Amino acid sequence: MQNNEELIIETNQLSFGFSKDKTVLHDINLQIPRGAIYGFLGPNGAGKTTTIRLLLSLLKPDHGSITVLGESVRSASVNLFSRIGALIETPSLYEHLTGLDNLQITAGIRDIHKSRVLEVLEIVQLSRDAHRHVKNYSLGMKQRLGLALALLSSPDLLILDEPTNGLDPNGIIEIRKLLLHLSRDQGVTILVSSHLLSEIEKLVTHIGILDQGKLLFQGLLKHLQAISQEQSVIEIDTDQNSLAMEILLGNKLVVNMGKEFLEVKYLDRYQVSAIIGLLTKAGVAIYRIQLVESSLEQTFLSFINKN
Amino acid sequence: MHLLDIELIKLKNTFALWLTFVGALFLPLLLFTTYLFEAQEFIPATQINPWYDYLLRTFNGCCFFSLGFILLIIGLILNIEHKANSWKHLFTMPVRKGRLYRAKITIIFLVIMVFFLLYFVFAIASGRLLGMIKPPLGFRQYKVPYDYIFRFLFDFFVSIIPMIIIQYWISFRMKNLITSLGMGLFGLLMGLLLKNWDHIIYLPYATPFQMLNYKETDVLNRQHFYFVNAGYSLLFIVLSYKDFTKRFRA
Repeated sequence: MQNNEELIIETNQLSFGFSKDKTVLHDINLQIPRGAIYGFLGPNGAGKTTTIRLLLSLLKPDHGSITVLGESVRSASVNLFSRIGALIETPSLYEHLTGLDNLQITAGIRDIHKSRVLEVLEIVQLSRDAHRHVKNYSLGMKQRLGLALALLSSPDLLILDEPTNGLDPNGIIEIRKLLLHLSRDQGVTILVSSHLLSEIEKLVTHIGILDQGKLLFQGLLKHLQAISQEQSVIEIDTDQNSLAMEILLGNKLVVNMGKEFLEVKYLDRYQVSAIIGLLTKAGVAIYRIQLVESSLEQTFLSFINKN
Repeated sequence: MHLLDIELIKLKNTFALWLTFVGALFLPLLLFTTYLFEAQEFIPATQINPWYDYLLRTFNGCCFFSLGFILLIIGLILNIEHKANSWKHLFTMPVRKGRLYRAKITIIFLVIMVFFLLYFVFAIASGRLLGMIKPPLGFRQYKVPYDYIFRFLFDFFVSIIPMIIIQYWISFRMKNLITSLGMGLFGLLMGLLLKNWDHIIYLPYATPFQMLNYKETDVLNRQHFYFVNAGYSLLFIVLSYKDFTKRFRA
């Protein structure tokens, strides 16, 4: 992470455990710059929700410090929370009330005008269902209402814990569009957690990978993409694999003998034609040559498996 | 918007609200039907105001039946937050936890006061109606002894304040309505079983039962009773407030 960026969320050596014997989070150093859409990624039970609860002062850390929007969370004034919108796991909704009532309750506590309530209903496309009881809402509608609650205060920072949980593909796309709009047009910094990279890779600018309470990777999405590219190989099968390996090694390529094929570390797309040229010139018959790209998902999994 | 108005919105369409009305109607309706169908049993001797006997039954019913309703009303009001999983949402809003505590306990006291108000409105209305339907019962000849009612209401309310605060504490701590209700009912049961114990006045769930067969010139050592209950109320308010604001996490 670049140091010259203004950090909206910063944690320093953050540790937490529900009991003395079991530490859930180990020395987490989150750095989320202004305007970022930060994908907080990790399998179930990795500690994402616990981290989010710590950021929102719902839990107290055992060690370390948390700074949100320039204020230490431990000694934060209530005003800090007027600048944060949060959706933690399932949205907190009063199901016996209408969608409008739910928004009015939060608006009342936050001292927000009714016009903003109508505005957020429009943003999450629930205006037509505002007077329906929430118990009759679909899962996607409840999730959107939860998001509307988080958006009410026009926050500078939006913290969303698995906001697409249980949504169908259309619902996921809708939420993604909405978050992109908030980020691009209103400059909202967003922290969004998920256990599926595929759900958020089209959305985020930054990624943090958490597993078993440890932050394994943190940085720009393009850095993760670069790591992913580094893990890609060109698979080659010839009539004389040993000779082919010698030739390629002689040309300073990184080559391994795989289970079935030769594996050449992928550098760029021009490499394939160069390899074919070298081997053909040496009289080696090529049966197969294929670029095997490592997906972001595989890279993500490789981080977790290594841990 | 005031936090209390917000609490009122939350009560819309809830069982707690219905229970406040239905629970308040329950015993007056029971008394009404008993007096109506067994009128001969209740015809007073000459020069005797029937309201005293009628109100004593109303008070005793209040001591026995209303407590269960009150426990349930408190549990249901807190259950609105537990069911919506909304503590975490409330605690991430720009409002001090102390204000949330105060708003919630205020709405609980308000609902309970409405419950008792309705209870006595229904009871008096039922007595007046009985006077019209069954004149020999004598309800029309005599005035309602409002002093007697207010005195009982005051003493009874003082007797239940510590119990309400403890039950509020249990109910925000216990997510499960059955558990909090069970604990409250256990307290009431103990209060009833130990009713004649010398130091029963020190058991908060038992004090309402000391109001049974309430007489205007009761032997109850009022001064002492007020002090004990005021002390308990203050103690439980302070402890539950500290627990809510410092330790209670969503």
